[in-house]
Amino acid sequence: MLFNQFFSGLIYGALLFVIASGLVLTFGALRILNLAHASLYMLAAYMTYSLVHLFPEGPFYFFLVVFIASILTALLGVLIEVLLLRRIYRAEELLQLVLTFGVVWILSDVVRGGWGVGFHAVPRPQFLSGSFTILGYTSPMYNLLILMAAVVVALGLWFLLHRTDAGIVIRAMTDDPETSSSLGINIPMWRTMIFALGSGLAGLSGVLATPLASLGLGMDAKVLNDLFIVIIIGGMGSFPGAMLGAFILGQLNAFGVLIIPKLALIFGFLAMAIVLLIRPWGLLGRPEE
Amino acid sequence: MGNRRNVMNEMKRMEKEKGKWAIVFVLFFIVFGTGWSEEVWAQQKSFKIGYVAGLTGPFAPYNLPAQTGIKLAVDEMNAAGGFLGRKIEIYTRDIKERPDVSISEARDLILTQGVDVLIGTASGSAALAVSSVAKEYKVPFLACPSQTFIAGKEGHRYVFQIGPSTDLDGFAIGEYVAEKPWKRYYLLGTDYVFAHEVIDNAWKRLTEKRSDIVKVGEMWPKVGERDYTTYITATMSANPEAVIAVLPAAMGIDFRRQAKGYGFYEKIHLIAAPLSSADRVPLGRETPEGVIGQTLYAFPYCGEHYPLAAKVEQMYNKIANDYDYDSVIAGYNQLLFLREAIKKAGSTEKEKIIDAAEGLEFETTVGRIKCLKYSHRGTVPMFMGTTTYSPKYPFAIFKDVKVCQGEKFMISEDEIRKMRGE
Repeated sequence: MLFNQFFSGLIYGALLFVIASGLVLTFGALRILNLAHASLYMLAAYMTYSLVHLFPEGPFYFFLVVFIASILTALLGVLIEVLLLRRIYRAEELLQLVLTFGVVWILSDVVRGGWGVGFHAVPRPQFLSGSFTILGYTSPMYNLLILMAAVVVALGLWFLLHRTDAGIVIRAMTDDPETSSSLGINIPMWRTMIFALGSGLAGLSGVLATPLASLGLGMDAKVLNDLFIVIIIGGMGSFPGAMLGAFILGQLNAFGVLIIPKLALIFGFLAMAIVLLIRPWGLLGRPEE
Repeated sequence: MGNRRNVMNEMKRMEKEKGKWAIVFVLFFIVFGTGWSEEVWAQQKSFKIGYVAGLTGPFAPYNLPAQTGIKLAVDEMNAAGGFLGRKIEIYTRDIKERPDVSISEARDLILTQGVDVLIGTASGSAALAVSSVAKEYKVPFLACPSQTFIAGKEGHRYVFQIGPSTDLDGFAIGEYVAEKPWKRYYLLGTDYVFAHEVIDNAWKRLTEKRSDIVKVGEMWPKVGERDYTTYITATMSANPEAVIAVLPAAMGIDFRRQAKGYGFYEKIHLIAAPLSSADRVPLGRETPEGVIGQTLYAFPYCGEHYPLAAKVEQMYNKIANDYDYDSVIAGYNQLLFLREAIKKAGSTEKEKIIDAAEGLEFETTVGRIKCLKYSHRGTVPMFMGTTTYSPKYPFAIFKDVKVCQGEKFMISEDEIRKMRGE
């Protein structure tokens, strides 16, 4: 039973990490706390619902849908950054929050107008509809895809940030935007690309989540709660922190419902509160200078 | 000369004054002397229905179809002359199922629009809020499609619930599964009033009928929970024979599809409530066969057995093809109730409608029901059945349908009197 719960928590944590990675990227590099990140996740999920009806069943078409939905979300991120965020980078943080909150409402209305208020479900792809058993524990095959996606995203981001020139630029912008600008780096262009990448990661997580949970208005709010818990526990702007935060929250949920079900709701918030008290920059974050 | 002109002007002024008072007197006589009371005014203006419901947010999938059902009925009844010659008009407000918004919008509808009746709400908290306004202003309120039990100590003369409520939901489950051979049960419900009441009632009735029943565990996922992985594995670890799961809307959809991948249905019998069209259609053919479900409208059973149901299905199919009949017929039934009460009263005055409604029996889309005299609740049926598939429909339907209807499945009028301290 303990392994069952551990593995369940691991899967949820993996999905949370994929969602959180985009938010960590945009906050780390751009210092924008994008409240609309979860709304992009929701929009990508709805786009997936429409896209799957356009293509036949099969692994190739499934991954094609993943690609298209992620790219479309990234392009939407470009629009948001160019038309809105670019005007408020120097503004105070409250204004930035208000603006991204406005985007939340806009995207919510877009979803309502495009897909209605009813629930929708995206079927699990046939080639991943089976189950596997490990140590006597049965789990859907699709959960392996979630785990793999989390590993690929983690490795991919590490490679990008630490083994490529683009990564050098991103880390420079994160550490010292003023100096980066004076060195001739085209800051506006890089901001757009980073925001697009973060949005694309939100889109990727939205696509991956669709066979797990039904689509409904308000699915972004639930994810946003968990996202904040993850990045506060792990450290804002820290990828290893996001991974750790997602793992911790996943396990708290898994064992919380087993040990004290009535209090399972607050375990994540308790952990967040404890971290804020003892290490406010997060377990793997850095103190702001 | 000047004095004479003054006198003439003064006389003219006095004549005008007398004329004005004469007009006032005549009007007074016409309005009150001839007995032109509220009833006569009532006959002249339209019959106004205030529809208060969460049209955005998580309850929208239940309220929007109910609104459609009401509108279908209103159009049909207006074509037949309205209510005693009064055209029926609907005034709609989105209350987001928030009690504070419910109170202000209901009050506004009464004070500024002068609505004759309030209908709506899906959540218990909104229903209670609107009910309090209805009581304050003495305006009848038909709670629909809310199933929270509001007839208890909060019940009063001005609130009606012509639809199922949690006692019917729970007792129907308890009676139905008591006939099954299973003994080890796990209880799973969304952590809010509706699920708690249904499960409490189901467990109460089940354990009254069977002394060998054992509860092996219970869990209450929070409202809005989307990931049931940990709940599924914890439930399976307790080794139940059956699980009573009261997980409405997207929560139930997510649980049922996620459970499949863990081999849940190979080991455990699932009793799911609610399992209405909105809970089955989105999953297409992913709802497992053999799940025991509860619904207030069993499709296609109801259309095959109740003529009014077949008629409403056809009316709805002209404007939508989503098979979402459950809340549509719930809304439609409210207007059937109103029409029959007004017909019996021979009046559209609020107090007379209420008096006529008490004890009224009438045909609905789910058969003949009675509005109980004291509690103002309708003896509507709840349907229990088992999911199966037909080549005709792209989603799970019901077979072996059992109709659970009557006061046997409802908290008695005497118990309700005690709850109200009488």
